[in-house]
Amino acid sequence: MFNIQENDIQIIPLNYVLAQKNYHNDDSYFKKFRTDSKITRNDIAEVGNHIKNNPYNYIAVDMQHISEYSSRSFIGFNHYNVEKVFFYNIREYTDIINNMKIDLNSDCYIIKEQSIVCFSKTTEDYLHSININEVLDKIIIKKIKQIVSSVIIDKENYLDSSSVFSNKYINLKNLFVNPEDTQFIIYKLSELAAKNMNEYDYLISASKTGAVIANLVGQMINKDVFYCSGIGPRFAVHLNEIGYSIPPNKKFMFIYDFLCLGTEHKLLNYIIKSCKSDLVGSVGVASLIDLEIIKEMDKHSILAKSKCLINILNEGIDYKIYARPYDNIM
Amino acid sequence: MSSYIIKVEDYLTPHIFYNYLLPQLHKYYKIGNNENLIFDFSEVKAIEPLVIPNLLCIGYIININSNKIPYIYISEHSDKLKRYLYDIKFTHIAKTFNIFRFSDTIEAGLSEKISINPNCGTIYLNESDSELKSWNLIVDNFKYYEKFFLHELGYSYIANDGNKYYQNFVFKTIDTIVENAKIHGKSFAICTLQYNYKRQMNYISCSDCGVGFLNTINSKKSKNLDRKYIFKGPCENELEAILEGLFFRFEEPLYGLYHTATKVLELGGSIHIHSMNTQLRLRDLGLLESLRSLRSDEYKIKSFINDNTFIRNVRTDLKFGGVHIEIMVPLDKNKIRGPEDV
Repeated sequence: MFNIQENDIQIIPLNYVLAQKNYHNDDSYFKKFRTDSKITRNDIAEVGNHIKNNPYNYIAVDMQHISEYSSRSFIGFNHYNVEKVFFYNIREYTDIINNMKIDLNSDCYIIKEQSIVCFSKTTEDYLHSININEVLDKIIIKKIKQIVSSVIIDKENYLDSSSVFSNKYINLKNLFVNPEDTQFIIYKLSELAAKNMNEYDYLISASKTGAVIANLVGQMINKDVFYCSGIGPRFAVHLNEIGYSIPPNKKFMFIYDFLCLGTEHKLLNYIIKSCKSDLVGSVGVASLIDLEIIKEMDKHSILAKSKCLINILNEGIDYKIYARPYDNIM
Repeated sequence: MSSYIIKVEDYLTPHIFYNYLLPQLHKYYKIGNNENLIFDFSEVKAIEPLVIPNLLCIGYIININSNKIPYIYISEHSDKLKRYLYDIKFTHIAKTFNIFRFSDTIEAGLSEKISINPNCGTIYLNESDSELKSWNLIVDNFKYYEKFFLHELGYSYIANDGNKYYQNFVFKTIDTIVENAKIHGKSFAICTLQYNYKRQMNYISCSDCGVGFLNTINSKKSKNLDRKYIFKGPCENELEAILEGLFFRFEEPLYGLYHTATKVLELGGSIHIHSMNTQLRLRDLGLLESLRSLRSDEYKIKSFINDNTFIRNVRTDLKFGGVHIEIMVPLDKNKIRGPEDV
């Protein structure tokens, strides 16, 4: 079963495990990313078997995006080694917590304000002592950072679209070497893109790696993808050609791999606007500029609607840009 | 070869279905003729949503019994009816699973005016479908229902992850009934969810062609499950079995038919449970509560269900295989007109 570990905590993202299972299912009713998942008795038994001989002190089962479970599935769950297990991110206003309480014969501890169910007093005390959601979010960001760091090449590189040099090259193409990492990143991107899924009609991409990522995300959330490959000063596309392929009066979501200074965003926004359509936002793996600051300072910028999994400077990756080659050596 | 024609007039409601269409069908079998069967819908103006799964089940049963696909005749001029049947996917399901035959023009000349809201629909769930697939099918097919109606009626909320979700008792009700049909009835299930904005009413109807309550409950009892039943021996008739089924999960305060029925009646709706030849109609919470309070006493409940006041809610002359559950729930409790009497 897929899990993420850090020090003494192991996280099992249950909805991701379900998505992984459904990834190769051809049936269209198993849309790969769902915000209304249902877990069955087998899934819960699988979790039970996974925790049997687990060396970690705490096992966190992430219940995000799960809105329903098969009735009576948790009966007998406390016969596994459940002292160190806790379920978190349980959706509010659903019957899940109540049902679990009934299934487990009230043999569990409920922390209402954090939507957590745990099974022993020691775990409950531990959860009260720290802000667990923050700790777990940090672990997941650390995992993403680890994946992104693994594709960084320590070599000077010229960024075509922004016309600058950088001391490192974030080669997200290499992501596809490791399928497990790719799946996790694509799932996380789908999660971001699905948040306001009703607000746009199509996904759009502007680079070759972005196109592959957009395609995979589109498969996960059942959206069609438009390719506008090679936007930038060097590979400018004639407007007339694009005008034929981008339909008017539609809304687009831009999927990118790495956001450096946002030139691609601005060009794409202009191209889409010129075709009388709209760019409603963007989602990507990593960014150099701090999107939070842009959101605060320049609300009308297209970058203010952008979201990404990590900001590489905030995560301590030493990435620099400069105007002339070898400027960073000085 | 000549054909046996069953003519349906004006409005096809559950009342017409049980009191007119079903007896005609029994008559056809009684004569024992081998003629082709035609349902003449040329004068039908509208079909009540609750009938749709029952109609499909009837087609399936005729098909199994006589190995002949019955024919539905719809006049070329009934463009509104054709559009309605097309929009709720009746035509699609009937054609895909060879339940009914139609004339070639069934999908042509549809009315341009949309007769119902396209969010409504009918789904067919195979017995072999996994639990997860059924859930996904329900959510995917009816998700716009969620977006437009539950939101409008204030059933939406912002959860702890910052996203908007819906308190969706309707999907849960459908899921419970469908799972029961598949697991206990050992049959496929056909389910429809529709609403009428004028009447402020939700229509949920689910049918299967399974073994019915009596067989299921008696086979459970023979396995000596450690559970308190109302009747100590095997059930004598379908009504007793329906009551056993209704109160089977009574002690577990969230699951099963009892809690579904309570929820529906609390919201001011009605629920009709039909198994094989018996139909129990629950229209007010008081009746369910008095059944609940008596359930520990077998003698008292037997005299209660044979009493005149209760018998008004039961029909035992409806020979129709499988289990058919019809639910009407008002969209908004403040705007209830009262469940329509059919």
